[in-house]
Amino acid sequence: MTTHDTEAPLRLEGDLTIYQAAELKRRLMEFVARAEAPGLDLAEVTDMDTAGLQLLLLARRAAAADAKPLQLLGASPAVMEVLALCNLDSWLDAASASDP
Amino acid sequence: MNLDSAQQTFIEESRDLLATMEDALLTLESAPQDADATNAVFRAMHTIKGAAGIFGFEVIVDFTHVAESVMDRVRDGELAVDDRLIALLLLCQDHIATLIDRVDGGEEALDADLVTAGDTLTQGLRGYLDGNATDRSGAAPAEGGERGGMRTARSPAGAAVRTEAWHVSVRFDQGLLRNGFDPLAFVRFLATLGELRHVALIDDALPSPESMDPEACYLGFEISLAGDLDKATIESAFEFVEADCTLTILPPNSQVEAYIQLIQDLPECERRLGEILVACGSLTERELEEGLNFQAASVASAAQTQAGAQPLGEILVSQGRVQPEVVDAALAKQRRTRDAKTREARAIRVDAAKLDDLINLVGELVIAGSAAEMLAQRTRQRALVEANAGISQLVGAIRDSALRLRMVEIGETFNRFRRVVRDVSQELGKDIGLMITGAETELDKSVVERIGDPLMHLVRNAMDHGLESPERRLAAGKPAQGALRLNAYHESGSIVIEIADDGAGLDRARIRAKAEERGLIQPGQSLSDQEIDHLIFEPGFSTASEVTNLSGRGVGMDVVRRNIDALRGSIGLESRPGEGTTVSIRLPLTLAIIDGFLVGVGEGAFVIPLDCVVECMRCDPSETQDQDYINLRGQVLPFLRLRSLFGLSDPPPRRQNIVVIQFAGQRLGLVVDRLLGECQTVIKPLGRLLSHLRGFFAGSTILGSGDVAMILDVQELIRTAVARDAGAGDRHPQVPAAIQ
Amino acid sequence: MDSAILSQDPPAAEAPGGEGSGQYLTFSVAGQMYGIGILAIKEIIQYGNVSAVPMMPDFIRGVINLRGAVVPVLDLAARFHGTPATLGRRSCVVVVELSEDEQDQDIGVLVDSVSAVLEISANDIESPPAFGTGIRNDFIAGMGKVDGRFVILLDPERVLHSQDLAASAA
Repeated sequence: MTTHDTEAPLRLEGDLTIYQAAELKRRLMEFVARAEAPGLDLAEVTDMDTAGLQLLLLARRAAAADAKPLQLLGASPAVMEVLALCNLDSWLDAASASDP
Repeated sequence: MNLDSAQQTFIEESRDLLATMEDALLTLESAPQDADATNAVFRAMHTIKGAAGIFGFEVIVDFTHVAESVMDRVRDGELAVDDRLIALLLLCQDHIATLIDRVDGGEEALDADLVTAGDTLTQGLRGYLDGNATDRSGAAPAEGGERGGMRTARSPAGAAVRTEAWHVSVRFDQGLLRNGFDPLAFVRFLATLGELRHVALIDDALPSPESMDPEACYLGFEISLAGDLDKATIESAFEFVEADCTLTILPPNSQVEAYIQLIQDLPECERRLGEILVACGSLTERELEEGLNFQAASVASAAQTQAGAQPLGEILVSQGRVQPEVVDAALAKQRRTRDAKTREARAIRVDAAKLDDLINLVGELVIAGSAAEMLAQRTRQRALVEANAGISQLVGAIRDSALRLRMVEIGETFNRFRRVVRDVSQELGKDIGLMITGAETELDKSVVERIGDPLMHLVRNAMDHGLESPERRLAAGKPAQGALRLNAYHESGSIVIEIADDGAGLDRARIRAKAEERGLIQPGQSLSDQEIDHLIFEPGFSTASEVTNLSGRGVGMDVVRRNIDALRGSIGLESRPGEGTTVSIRLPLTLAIIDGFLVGVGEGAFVIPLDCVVECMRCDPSETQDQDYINLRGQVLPFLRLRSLFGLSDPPPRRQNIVVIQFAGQRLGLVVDRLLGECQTVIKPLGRLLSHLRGFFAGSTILGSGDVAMILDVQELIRTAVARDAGAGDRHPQVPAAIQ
Repeated sequence: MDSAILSQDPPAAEAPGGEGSGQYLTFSVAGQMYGIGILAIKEIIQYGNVSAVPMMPDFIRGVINLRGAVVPVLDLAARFHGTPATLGRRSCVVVVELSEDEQDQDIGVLVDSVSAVLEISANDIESPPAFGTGIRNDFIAGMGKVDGRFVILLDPERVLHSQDLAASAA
């Protein structure tokens, strides 16, 4: 659980693929704009492809532009595989490092 | 650009680089850690190799490549610099110089000796290279191209990278996802082909959220893949998306430049790419740095011709990421290289003949200007006189400017002796340290060219005969290392060059004996120490009991003196037995045009170099009749009566003048009839005939009136006065010239 | 730079100007006819505007300004006989081009008058006699026979050899 209890993280479930991409983008961007310390919970994601990964990266950038860190809290095996493949596991580690 | 002049430039610049390399090697001898010197040697080899490649001088390319590889190891810290290596590299430098000479002489073929010499040296160099499994000089990219593609490739960055992994670089087109493909799948597939050493995701193309199309693909990858693969296999992985991506596959041990090319071709910023490649392990920091540097230099020069050449080094700081030091260092070095290039570009090579033509024309201008000025003065029209005075001033300025074009620092010449001293002291088994001062003293280019040989002879003499062996020196209470000093400075319109040693000094007894033997002096003739010393300048004189290879090639001190004489200079000796000897050479700063002071004696006009004139004053012949000196503000000023010196028997005019001249710290008054003012003087050498009858003239000049005026040799005049006052009043004035 | 090498004495019978015939400028000094191969002759000018140079031996009259070059003028009469020439209406200066020790030097020679350029074949040139010409033997390249008279053909390099002149002046 996040330490920031002023707001809830965004939980994503199901597939994060090109088929959900358009809707996903809208949700992610809105969340990042709204939240002060956005966190993403991806523990229930079943599948992620490049489109999904791209949106995560986009969200991270958008948050950084607002000087907010986008934290990854929880990742399903599917997500972890993709992150590991692309050498992005540090993202996850950073998140878990801040957990109490 | 025609091939001949390009080749000439190659030859000249290669020689410059070899000189730089020699300097650097000598520096490394005493300071093996000096990074600048190490780099200088590397760069010299690297640049010569590249240029030679362009001209197809394969022998030079091959030879320098090995040397360059060795230096590269040294730069990386893998090889330590030791005396043996330096000695070997100095020999290599000589060898390359010989090869360049061959090119200059138009000889294509090499004789057997040269080939053998080259092979021996190469073997010695390879000895330093062996022992490394990934022998760079031998590795060939799996592409099938030769080592560095030396024979066909035009680039000198032939060194191969060290990584043994394949590097796959791919950028997917935007429409890839819509076509049903997923980049991640490709990466997973590659993982089945070999070991994914490193994967770097490139998301630079991701636009802002507003413009991002969630169904488009903005990603790319830089992947390092290890395994027993071939290019075709890797390519086949991307077979279906060939048209939808940009794919570059670099085999293991590709050339650095291939990576640099990749960096350039890819859309992302270069620094970041460099960083990524390094992170992938595909490039080492050193390789990246070198590649960037080379590109910077070559692109800078190609930029003028190739409009499309990408400027390197424009680094954008991306998203506040911290830049790693290596790329910072590379960037700084890029800047330094570029700065050095622009500084070099500000200097121009000028054909010496063109410069001579210019100076001749300026000389004629000086004479014509004097003529015009004279005529103008006769008209007494102020405006005209002033206008001409203005022109004369400008002509004087042009003259000074033109002459300064020919001035070079004597340091260049002095530096050549570092190598000579090093080699010769080793040959002789003596420990000799060379100290150079006054290297920035300037002198005329033509003088520099002609002073080299005499200096060489004097330096070798000092080393061979002047300085004692370490044992003798220690026995004499001196430090084992002999000191040899080259010094230069300006004085009274001349340049003085000194060669000093702290050796045993001249053996006067031996010189005397030899001179008597040769009939140069009478037995029992009384001579001062100075006179004995100067006997060594007499023709045919050599006290070396055996003519050594170095200084006794049948070329004696008399030839040295003659060379100096030809330059209108003089040579002097000062020797202290047991302490050392100093030879000083005095040369006029310019051989061409000087400011002069015109005086009249009898019917003729004579020029005194203005640099030597201190003051003038009137005098009455009655004052100067009975004695040879006057009281000038409390000091004794000796003088010479030029009328009597020149053998004019007529009585002098009622009023005369004394011109006080000074040279080498000595003052003398010259009694003349008329003072005729300043003039710019184009020096015409006396020529053989008149110089043998030298008298007191250093040259002649043509006045504005068309008449010829003789230029007085101030040094000679002073010497005469000194000799006269030394009590030898009845001596023929020619004798002092013989015993300078 | 090489050491200066004194030129060797030329063999006495060496014909000037090479094989076959040569052309010679003939001139008169102190009543005697002389000749010099024209290849060595640059030009002939009137005597005038000679600037005296002090401390020179008598046979150096001085120097002239020849289009910007300073050319010394040698008095042949003084050189040969010790007596300076008397300037006459026809006195002129023959400028001879010498190449000594790799350096080119022009020397002007004062003569009483200049005659014609004659073609003299090698057959008509005899070796100089041991004495009787009144001048040094080594100055003479040969004796040219012209119209029954002898013209003393001079070797300019020897006559005008600078070191030689210096020696005789000292």
